[in-house]
Amino acid sequence: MSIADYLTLFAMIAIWTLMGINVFLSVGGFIYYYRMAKTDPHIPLEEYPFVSVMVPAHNESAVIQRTVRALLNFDYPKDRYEVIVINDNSSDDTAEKLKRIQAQNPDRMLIVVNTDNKVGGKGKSNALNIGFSVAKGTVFAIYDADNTPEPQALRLLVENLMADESLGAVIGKFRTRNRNASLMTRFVNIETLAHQCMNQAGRWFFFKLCTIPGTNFVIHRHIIEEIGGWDPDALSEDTEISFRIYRMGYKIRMLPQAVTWEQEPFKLSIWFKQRTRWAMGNLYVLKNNFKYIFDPKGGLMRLDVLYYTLVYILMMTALVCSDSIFVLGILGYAHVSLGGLSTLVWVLACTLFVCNVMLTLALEKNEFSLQSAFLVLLMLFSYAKLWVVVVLKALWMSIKRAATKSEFTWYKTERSAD
Amino acid sequence: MFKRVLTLLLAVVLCLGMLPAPAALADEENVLILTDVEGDSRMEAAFEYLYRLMAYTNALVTYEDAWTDISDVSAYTSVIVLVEPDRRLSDITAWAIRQSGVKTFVIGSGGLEQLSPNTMRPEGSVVVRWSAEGESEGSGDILVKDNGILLLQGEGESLGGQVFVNSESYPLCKTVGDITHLAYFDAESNVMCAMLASMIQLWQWPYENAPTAYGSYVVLDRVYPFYEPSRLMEITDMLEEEGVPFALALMPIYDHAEYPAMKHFCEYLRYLQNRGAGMILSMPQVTLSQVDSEELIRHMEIAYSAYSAYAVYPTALQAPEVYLLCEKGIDILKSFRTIFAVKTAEPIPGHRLTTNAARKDGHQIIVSAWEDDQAFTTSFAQAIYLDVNEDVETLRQYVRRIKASRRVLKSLTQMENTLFLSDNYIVQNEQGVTVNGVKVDLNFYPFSYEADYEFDRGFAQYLTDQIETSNKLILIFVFIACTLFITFTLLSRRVMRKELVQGMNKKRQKVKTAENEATMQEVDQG
Repeated sequence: MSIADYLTLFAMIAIWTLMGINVFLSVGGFIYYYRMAKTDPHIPLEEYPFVSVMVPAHNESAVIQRTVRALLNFDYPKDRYEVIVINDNSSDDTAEKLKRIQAQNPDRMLIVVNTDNKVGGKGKSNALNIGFSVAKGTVFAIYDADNTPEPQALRLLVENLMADESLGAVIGKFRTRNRNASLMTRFVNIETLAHQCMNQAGRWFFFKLCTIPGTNFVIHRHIIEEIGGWDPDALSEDTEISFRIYRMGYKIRMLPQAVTWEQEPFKLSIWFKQRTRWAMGNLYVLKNNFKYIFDPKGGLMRLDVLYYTLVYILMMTALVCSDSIFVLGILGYAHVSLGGLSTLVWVLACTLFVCNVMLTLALEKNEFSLQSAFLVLLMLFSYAKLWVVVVLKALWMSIKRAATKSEFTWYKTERSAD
Repeated sequence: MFKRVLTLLLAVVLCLGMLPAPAALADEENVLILTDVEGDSRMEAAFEYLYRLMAYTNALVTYEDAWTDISDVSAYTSVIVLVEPDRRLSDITAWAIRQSGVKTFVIGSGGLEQLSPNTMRPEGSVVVRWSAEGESEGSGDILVKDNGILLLQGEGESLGGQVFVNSESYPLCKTVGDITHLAYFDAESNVMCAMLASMIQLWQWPYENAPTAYGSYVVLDRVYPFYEPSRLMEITDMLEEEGVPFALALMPIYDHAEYPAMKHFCEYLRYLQNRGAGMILSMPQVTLSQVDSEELIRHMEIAYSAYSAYAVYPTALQAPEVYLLCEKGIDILKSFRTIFAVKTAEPIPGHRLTTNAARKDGHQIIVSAWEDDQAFTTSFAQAIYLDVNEDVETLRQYVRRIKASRRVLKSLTQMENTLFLSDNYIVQNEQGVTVNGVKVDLNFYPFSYEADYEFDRGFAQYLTDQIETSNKLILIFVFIACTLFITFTLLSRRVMRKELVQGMNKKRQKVKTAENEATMQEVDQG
């Protein structure tokens, strides 16, 4: 047996194992979504806690007005929440635009914290820590600067957080605001819907696990205080904080009715930089938390560490192996002599993938169509392959960073006025 | 005492007398080839061909640069000059050639004027016609630019072809005294290449009679192990019907030689071997410049054993021609006496050798025949390859055309073939095949087969079985998962539709309420 045989075998086992896990999670995700669709998520409270809605913004002139207006329009007692925008060392006219909105809404608690390059400009975690220092709320809600949350989102999140003491945070759903902007945004839209249904809802349904997505979530102030704020070294502060919340024994719940609409990268170059940052951040979190996988005290969190290991290490290596062998085979440099590898199995994998993703689209309004099915198939051979490149680049940059002991440079996702 | 010494001296003299005389070596053709050619030129291509031709004919040659001063050429029996038209020979060498009277073959015009005073450069449009009077049957015209040709003048013998200048005809190749001159040569023309081979053989031949005519060998090319014997049988039966001796170029095999399919294939080879078919082992398909000689020889030994285990004895080696032209290749080929040299596009690795180094191994070299039927020569042995994937009737027509030509078809088994591989010395001649001096039984007898052969692929087979079982499980899994997903999808769509209808009803209700309120207000106001 040649190396190509062993690698093919490894790739096959890994890919089908991961497909099995995804199918399992999708079933859970569907049941959870279906149940939630039939229940009223509102749990009226006697007294609503004071909420600090924090928005880190760095050069967000194109989108900030729309975001802040949406935040001020929450269906939540107006005197029970404040909006804190951390204008993080912006060089554009974000500050002026925020000042204008402040002037237009003198009766609202809209706080703008402007930072310079000494204090600010060091990434989202740092900006959130600055916001945290001025926030008064007992609950924090975090939104990205490109978000347009639906009015009831905050109320739903807070009600559900306060109703269950075992919850450390509650996350909502995010949708793509600019899904028709380009082929890339269509792919991202499908990806985010599938990810939330399969991974977030499925994991919550079976294991009461969810990862904070970085936006549209609420969290108790005391938790942030206990963990000492956000880790400024973490590029994906959301995943990092999720793992810390797990370790404290809290759960993170997903509430699909609390929706925010966000702007996704419309160009490949922007997407690539954003995803590389995410992947680097997740690899950082994985590196820091991998030790807990063998720690019985880690509890359910160990499953999430395992899940991240499977996605970032196993799936990545399996896809690299299978794609490399495929290409080398065509070029005549590799030959797989193992029998039983039929094209039918490959077709089955593609079919399963399409059916799986289409189910997640069927749960949303105006997403399920023949065109979407075609896009899903196209994604499999284009967008999904890019993901391997993203992880490989992130891995390389993480190794380089560790070797040179250099600091992360925060890449700010470019926005467009839509 | 004196008598004893005398007897001893006499014995010594007698013994010495029995040794081959040095004079015998002097009888052998020893060719000096003087060249000065430019890369990518017509003459460079001509030299490339000449270099190969000398290897085909196993000639004893020494290559020297034309500008090298050689004051004594008496060590050589003949000289070939191949120099670009605008270049010259070393004056000292030219003088030495003229003084020695050694027979000299000049290709093209370069250096001719230094060797013979009797030359002419015809003026006007020159057409070279190589209508063959000798072996090659081709003809064709090439228009050479004005004054672009130099001819040898004087009484002499023509060796073939013609040159026309303003409708006046001159011999293309002519011998005057010690100088033979080929006025024009183009290596791109197969017919001219064949003609040059014949001319050089004729020029070197010291006797009055015709030179040795080498035969042609029909070879079934690229016969892969596991090739369907019934298909092979159709072709070989046809060749036997046509009375054509043939050999099979067997592709090498390194693994799974014990499989029944290989046994069955070899059973038929054995049948053919018994009926006089020659067996040739093909060299592993590798690029010479990248090859590890020891590894290659090891693979050849494995491949040879795969056949000899079934008493099928390949006695010749099929190798790319380039192996004969460099030290590394020559070293690999030395175990085989008979070499079927195949033309490939592979360039000669490294520098050209200054001699025909392959000659020392005494190979019998059989070169691929030109596909062009008109390019014909008997000055070296040639192989005519048949494609076993071609249909039998097409092959039959081709074979009949060969038979109708002037080629003399020979059998590989008629010549003595030897090889030394895996510590075995194998000889094939008309008496049969011997391995380390012991004659082997070449008679055909049917092989026996195990009823249920256990294909022992070890772990790989185990995995293959597991994968095949897993495929069924995957099929079931995907079927269940897809059914579930489709059911869920339909369920979701129904819920969505309900929500949509409810939403529309709510909207309608709102509109109606608003209308009613407006009517009530109007009534109140009224």
